[in-house]
Amino acid sequence: MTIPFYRSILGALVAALLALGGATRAQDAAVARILDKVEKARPADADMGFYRLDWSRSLTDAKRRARKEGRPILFIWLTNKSGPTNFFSGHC
Amino acid sequence: MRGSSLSDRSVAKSLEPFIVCVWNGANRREMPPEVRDVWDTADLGRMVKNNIVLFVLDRSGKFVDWFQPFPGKNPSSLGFSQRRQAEYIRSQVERVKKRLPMPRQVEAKTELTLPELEKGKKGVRVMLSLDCPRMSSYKAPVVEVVETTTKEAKALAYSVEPRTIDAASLGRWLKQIYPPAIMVRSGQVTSVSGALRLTAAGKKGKRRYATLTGDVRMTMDDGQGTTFTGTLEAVVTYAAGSDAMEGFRGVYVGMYPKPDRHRRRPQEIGLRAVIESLPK
Repeated sequence: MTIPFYRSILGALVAALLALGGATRAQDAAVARILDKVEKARPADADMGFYRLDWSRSLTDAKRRARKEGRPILFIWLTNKSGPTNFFSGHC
Repeated sequence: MRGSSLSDRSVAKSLEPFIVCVWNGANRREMPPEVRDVWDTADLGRMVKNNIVLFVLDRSGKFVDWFQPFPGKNPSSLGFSQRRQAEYIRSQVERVKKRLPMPRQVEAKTELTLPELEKGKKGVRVMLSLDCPRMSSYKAPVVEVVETTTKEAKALAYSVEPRTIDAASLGRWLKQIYPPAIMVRSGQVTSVSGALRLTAAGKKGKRRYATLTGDVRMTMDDGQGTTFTGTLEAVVTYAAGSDAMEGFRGVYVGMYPKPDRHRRRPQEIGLRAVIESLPK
């Protein structure tokens, strides 16, 4: 038995659409899976206490704010001869 | 100190009235005049036992007192105990507070102050968590921001067909993923390599998506050329009708084999970094 031409075209079209739908679902799932992984990798609140202190970008800015807000300053001073240091970012 | 005493709740509570700032440099010669002024006023002479000093200034910016994060040359003077380090800092802060005029009552700050790009700039924030129970300084994440250049923007442009991107084209971002405190040579990443696959991943509403996945290999300038690998997985977002990247959210997971002169096997440091575009 031969399949009419139009039916074979229709079948191919349906198969292509189903495949496309499957591919789209797979793509959506990949995006969702990665975004979920990003959220899970985010540092926990409990580990971010350092960034909850009331930081100023510089001593100049801290002094300006101290005068305006009537507050003292804790000024952390450190040297590290073995390499570049950024205490605020954490790389040293 | 970042991951131990300054992340401790009791220390944070004690520091609520204070505005906190930091200066760091390779040596004392690098001090700018404003910092040198504080240093000279304090006149510490030979009293300084290590490379960290905490100065307390009053509301007019005048020097009041100083202390160090531990009583001896290093944290061993407190038995490497995080609890004792926190308690020591808290007791020092409370001691100095008695010499200050009663500060205005300050509400506890709850929001995070993370490193930011300059206003109007675009880039990414890299939040790196390190898994190594022996290092208390690794308990606080490293947070870096990097401006985006045309190189990254061009590499991540939308493509209907899957294509391969050289990981080096995102090298300025990925080079932020390394453990601190290596303390040999520059202790920074010198090279980035790997093939990343950018694949269109459908659309939702007015946005199109692509996934970016692949392994990344990096080499450290630590005197031994230590190499380490990890996997990057990210979602890139594009506005409808534009091939230019609008947003980036990704995660890198890897392991750094830190050479350990006391052991045959290297010390394994887990690396987990979230990379997100700014502004959000």
